[in-house]
Amino acid sequence: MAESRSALWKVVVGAIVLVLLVTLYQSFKSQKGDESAVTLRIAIETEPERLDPLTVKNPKTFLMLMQIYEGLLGLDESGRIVPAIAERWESADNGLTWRFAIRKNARFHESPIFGGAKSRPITAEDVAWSLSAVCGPGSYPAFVLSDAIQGCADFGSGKAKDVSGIKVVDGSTVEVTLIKPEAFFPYRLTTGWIAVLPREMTAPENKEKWGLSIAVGSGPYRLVSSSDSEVVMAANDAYWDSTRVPQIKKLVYRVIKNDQLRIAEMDKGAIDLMPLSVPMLPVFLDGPRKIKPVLTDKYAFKEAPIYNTNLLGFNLNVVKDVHLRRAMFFGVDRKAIVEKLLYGYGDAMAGAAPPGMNGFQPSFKMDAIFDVERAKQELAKSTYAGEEIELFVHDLGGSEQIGQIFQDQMKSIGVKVKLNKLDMNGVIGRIIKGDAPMFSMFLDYVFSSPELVLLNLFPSSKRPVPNFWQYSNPEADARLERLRTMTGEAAVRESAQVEALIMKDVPALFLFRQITLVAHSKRLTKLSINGHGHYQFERAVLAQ
Amino acid sequence: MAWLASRLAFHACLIVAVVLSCFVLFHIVPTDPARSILGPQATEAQVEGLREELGLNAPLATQAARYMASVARLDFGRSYIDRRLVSDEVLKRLPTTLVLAAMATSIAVGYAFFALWLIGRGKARVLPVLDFAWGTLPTLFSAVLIALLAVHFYPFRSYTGQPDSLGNWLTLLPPAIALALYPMAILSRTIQREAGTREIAGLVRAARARGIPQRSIQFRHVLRNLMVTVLAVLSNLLPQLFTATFIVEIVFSLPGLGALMLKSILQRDLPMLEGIVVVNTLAIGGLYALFDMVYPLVDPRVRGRYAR
Repeated sequence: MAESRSALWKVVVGAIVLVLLVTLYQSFKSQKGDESAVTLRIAIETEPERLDPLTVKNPKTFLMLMQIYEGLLGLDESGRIVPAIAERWESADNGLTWRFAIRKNARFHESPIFGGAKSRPITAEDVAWSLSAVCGPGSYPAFVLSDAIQGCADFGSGKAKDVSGIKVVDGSTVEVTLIKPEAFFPYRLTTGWIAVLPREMTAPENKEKWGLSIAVGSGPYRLVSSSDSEVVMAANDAYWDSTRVPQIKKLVYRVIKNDQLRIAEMDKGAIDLMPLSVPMLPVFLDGPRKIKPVLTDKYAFKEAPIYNTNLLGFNLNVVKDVHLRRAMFFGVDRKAIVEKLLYGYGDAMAGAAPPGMNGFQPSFKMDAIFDVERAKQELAKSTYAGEEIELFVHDLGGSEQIGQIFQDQMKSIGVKVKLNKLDMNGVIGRIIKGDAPMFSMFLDYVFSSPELVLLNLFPSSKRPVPNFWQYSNPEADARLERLRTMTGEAAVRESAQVEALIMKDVPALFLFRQITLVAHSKRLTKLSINGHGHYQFERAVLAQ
Repeated sequence: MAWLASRLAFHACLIVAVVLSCFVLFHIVPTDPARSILGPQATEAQVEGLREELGLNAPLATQAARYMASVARLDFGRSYIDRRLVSDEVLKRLPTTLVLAAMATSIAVGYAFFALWLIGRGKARVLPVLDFAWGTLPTLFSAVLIALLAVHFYPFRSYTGQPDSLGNWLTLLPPAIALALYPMAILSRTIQREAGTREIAGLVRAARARGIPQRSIQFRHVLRNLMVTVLAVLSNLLPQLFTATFIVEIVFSLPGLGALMLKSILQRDLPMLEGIVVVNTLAIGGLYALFDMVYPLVDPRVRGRYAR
């Protein structure tokens, strides 16, 4: 009796194990099935935010967002404006009014939000509605348009019911009237924030799901599924530009927060592409900007010079002595910071506009900027008496390390710097309150032309934000205003001169532009990444 | 019954106190939610407009009263970061954390049974060494180690966000093991210590003398007598285990409450933080209430005491 019970027991256990093994195999096979030859698997280090251009803040989420949504205009890898939803655009009144002709064959992705119809064409009403939504209350990117378009700021603060400067001319034309002329207005529209969205997103049944399980744009990829650990997109085979219908049929973004695990997954071949975070760089490099040969045999690498800057700002109401600021300007060794902190993956800069932005020529020769003797001479002219200057640093973008290197460099010219570490929001709070003598900050530029960068950061009218330094110079104000109507070479030249004028007063120490190093599978070719960090996968090729 | 009602009332009061104090604590932190939502580049007029819209200009007492009324309706407001509903987000992430904690508890309890089985067969000498290893490995270290091993030797690593398929459950297995290590050590040590007491040894001797098979002695007689101690240890371990899921979720990039909590702290997303703290309090309060109900069922002495 006992023997037969034992035999029965063994049969039952054997059957359970067999069923388990078969299920495991099936499950493993279905997971493997996702990894087909036309799928690109991308590792990202942070959870995606809501895929909604009106609320998104995290630049890492832009990697995904810009595949789904498109705006009126785009930007190619060289920084030139390219048409997107707008096939043509023209200005009148010296750049005060802009007309955009909407592409007739541009359609939104297929989605249940359109009810019976699976999709619909993009109209001028959609464009006008989307631009107004950017101006609207609670919109994070409102600052991109609020000081440019007539009535945008009033709509944002609830003083007006609509944006007076946005008008639908006919079914395929939208007219935008600006507060002041801007020859460079199109460069405001190239960022992923200024997307064309379907009005149906605000319908009660879609509102809560928008950007989470639903995200409908007109870009080369459409959202398949989204969770906080994985975002899956499929190629939009009905994309308006038939020459750019993606060859890579599926994008899978996997969140892997731990650096070691991302490297291990790439090593295992489970990941095809990952931007390298700064702490990962030493694993990949032999020396500054020198990738280990064993890794270049294994992977391909791409440098992405995205429009950004890392800076140390002054509150000019506190650090008033221009000679002291100039001493710091000449005493900081930007190249050393780039080498030490970014292992060479950065461009030292002394002005606000990063190299490569719309043909901008830097206003400084970087080799002559670091000059300890000149720094000491400026310090001698100042009223500085050896007191500690407080520098607020935070926990992001290597801010604390920058502060430490800067502290050492200043010591060598005789300036004492005291670091005070807060979280990023804390530092911003102190800047806005005006009680941070110096602060560390990084900016990802949403504008793609130097005139806009300067007009955003330095006019007196932009105090207290985004003129974080409380800078005020009537001559600079007047010349910045004149930039509005300049075009071409003249605008580029004048931008460089105005920047040089502003930097004489040293409102901030612009240090460097960070270059992102991207490691990817050798199967992936023709990858282009523009200045906004838009990975143009629709142009890339993934070998079978 | 009266005892049960008094315990439930106690837990309810505790939860209300935690919700209120967490509201006050979070709102005395010097931060401007409207500025957080609109970013550093927004104009002061825009920020002021949003402050008014969110009711942030009202006195703290009014805001607290409004908040408590909303929480009573299970409405925790919206995230300061991307305006998603806090209740939706927390409820979406809760299953991952709960499944992870449940799997880890099952593994720890399973290991305790295994330890009991080894004790019954007189082969428990290896247990103290293993328990020492499991108990002294910091969770962060063991989680990274297990995650790296999983990359190389375990095929299920892609989690789609919810424990809704076998593949996703299997993906949760390595993090559950990492999470279970410490409770495994504590439960195993407790069982070894208790099984070695004079009372239990006498019980085993008596059962053997009556000719009861060894398996039956271990799992019916000994286990029943160890149950109260095991439950007491578990009730203390579970809140700690619930908190440790936060570390494991971050290492394995799992979208649970822990990962959300860390993100919310870094972004000063106060409504989200409040939502997580409330759910955490409810979960732990609920667990304690559950244990309060289970004790009388497994221990006649407790039952008798409350019956009087």
